[in-house]
Amino acid sequence: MRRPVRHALCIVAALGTAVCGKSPEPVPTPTVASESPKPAQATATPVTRDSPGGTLAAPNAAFAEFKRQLELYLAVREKVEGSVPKLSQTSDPGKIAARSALLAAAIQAARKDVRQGAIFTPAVSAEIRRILAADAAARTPAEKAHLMAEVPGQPPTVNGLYPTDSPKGPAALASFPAKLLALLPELPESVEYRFLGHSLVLRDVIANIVVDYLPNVAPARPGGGLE
Amino acid sequence: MTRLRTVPTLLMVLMAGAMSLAALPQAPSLPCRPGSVKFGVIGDFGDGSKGEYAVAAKFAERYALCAFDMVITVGDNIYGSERAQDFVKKFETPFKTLLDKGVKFHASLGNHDDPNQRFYKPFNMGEKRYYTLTRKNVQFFALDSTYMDRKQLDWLEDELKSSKAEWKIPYFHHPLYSSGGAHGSSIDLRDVLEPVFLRHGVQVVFSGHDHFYERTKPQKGIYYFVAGSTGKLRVDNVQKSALTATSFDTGRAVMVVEIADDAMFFETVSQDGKVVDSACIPRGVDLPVSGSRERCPPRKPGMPLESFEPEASPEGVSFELRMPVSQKIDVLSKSLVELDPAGTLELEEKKDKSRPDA
Repeated sequence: MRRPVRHALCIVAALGTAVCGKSPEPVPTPTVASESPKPAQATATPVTRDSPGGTLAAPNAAFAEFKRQLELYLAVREKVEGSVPKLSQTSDPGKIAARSALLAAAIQAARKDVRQGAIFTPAVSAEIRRILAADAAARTPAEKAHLMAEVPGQPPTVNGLYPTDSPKGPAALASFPAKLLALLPELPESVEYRFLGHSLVLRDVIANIVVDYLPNVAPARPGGGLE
Repeated sequence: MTRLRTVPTLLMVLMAGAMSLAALPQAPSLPCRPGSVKFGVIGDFGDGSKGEYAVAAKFAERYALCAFDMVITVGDNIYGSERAQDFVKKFETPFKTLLDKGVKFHASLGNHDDPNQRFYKPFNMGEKRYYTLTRKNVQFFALDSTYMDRKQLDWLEDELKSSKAEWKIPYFHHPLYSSGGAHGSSIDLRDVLEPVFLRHGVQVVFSGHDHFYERTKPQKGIYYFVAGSTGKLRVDNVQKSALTATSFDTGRAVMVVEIADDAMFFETVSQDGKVVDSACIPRGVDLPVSGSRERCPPRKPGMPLESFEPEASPEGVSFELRMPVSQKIDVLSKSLVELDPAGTLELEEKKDKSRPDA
């Protein structure tokens, strides 16, 4: 059987309950007191593995909650972003690095009391874990090792910087598997998924900080980085 | 006594002359036509090593022979720390000659690049992680292969669909096809990108990540180039297979490409100035004509390999092969048999005898 087809069948089977009308899980209350909740809007996306734009992140209460928590983060981010200089094209890379560091410091200060699980709430975590497990089940051990080869080994901390130095070589921002991205809920432009250690992290793209993480979900051991 | 002194002097002059001749850059295998689209390709370069500086110097020499007005990068633009001085040491100084001439670099991001490089003006990314630019009949698509999310895929699909360009050229870091022992083909990415390329008539793709040069045989009609050895080099890392048309993994390399109407000419130059691969890819025909100086065969979409024959231009068809015979056989494989049924490997300046003026 061709690999993509096998991959799709595995995932559809593994996610059967999630995508076939299982009653929605209860929505947990937000865990960050300083970030007030807003109403969630679930997106109706088709549940197909191989079609472009398809996703297994079927609309349910958990993903509405995920979106709501991300919006809370974005609200904090937007607020502190006003306190740092605007970033635009420059021939001075020093300005780019300085602005990134300023933004990181401002976000860290504004979210100093936030702990792991602020965005990956229990309900969200359960759904994301289900997707990651299904994706991993459809890959060979060699594929999984390949996907994790560039990933740094150290564990993440909320508000910590995503490490850009690898023990095995120069700085690396490990690539994220494209097919897995198609399964996960979409993120706003300023946040992205990455693996770090054995965790899935939400990384702020400009500030390079770990917004939140979901531990022990990596498909294989982190390889520590390759040139 | 005077005579005795003259002989060694003469010998020294002759030796110096021979050495300077050897140091001359090899003649370009590009036609270098006025008005054509010419660009350079570099990848995995920004390590500030002596190797990077050496190959960048050869790149400047190629520019002097046939000027190109832009360079595309296939990622890993800055290795290690990204302080202001790193951009100077790893990019601005080695490529100073070209930057001073006004050559525009258009970067794509690799796994060693901070996505904030999009704000670095000399990389001309327009503050975007993925973007497109058009030069005459060629449209380039710089992709961020480290994070190929749905948003980027939808954007690519829309841009390719609406493109009126005759040549659509995506470039990005992770190769969809590669014979690299360290990384190899990015299967996950291929499953997502290849169908989009096939739907929209992409014929040529440039990538890096594996630290060598490789040109694949056409995969479903698309030529894939791995150009990931402009700074970093992984010696003897090509694991040759049915995929490989030609490769070079014993030295660093850069590429210079010229697109003139329906023909894409290219040359790959090593850090010691040798042309290690050169050929012409005709648009719509899945067969490269190695070393063609004059022109590619006319466009004949869907033509089977067996019936392929180059049509002579008024000047006759000219071929020049620049490699050792063993390598030529490997590189040209079937195409050489088709083009030269008599089996004459040295096709230098071969004229079309069927034409009275040839």
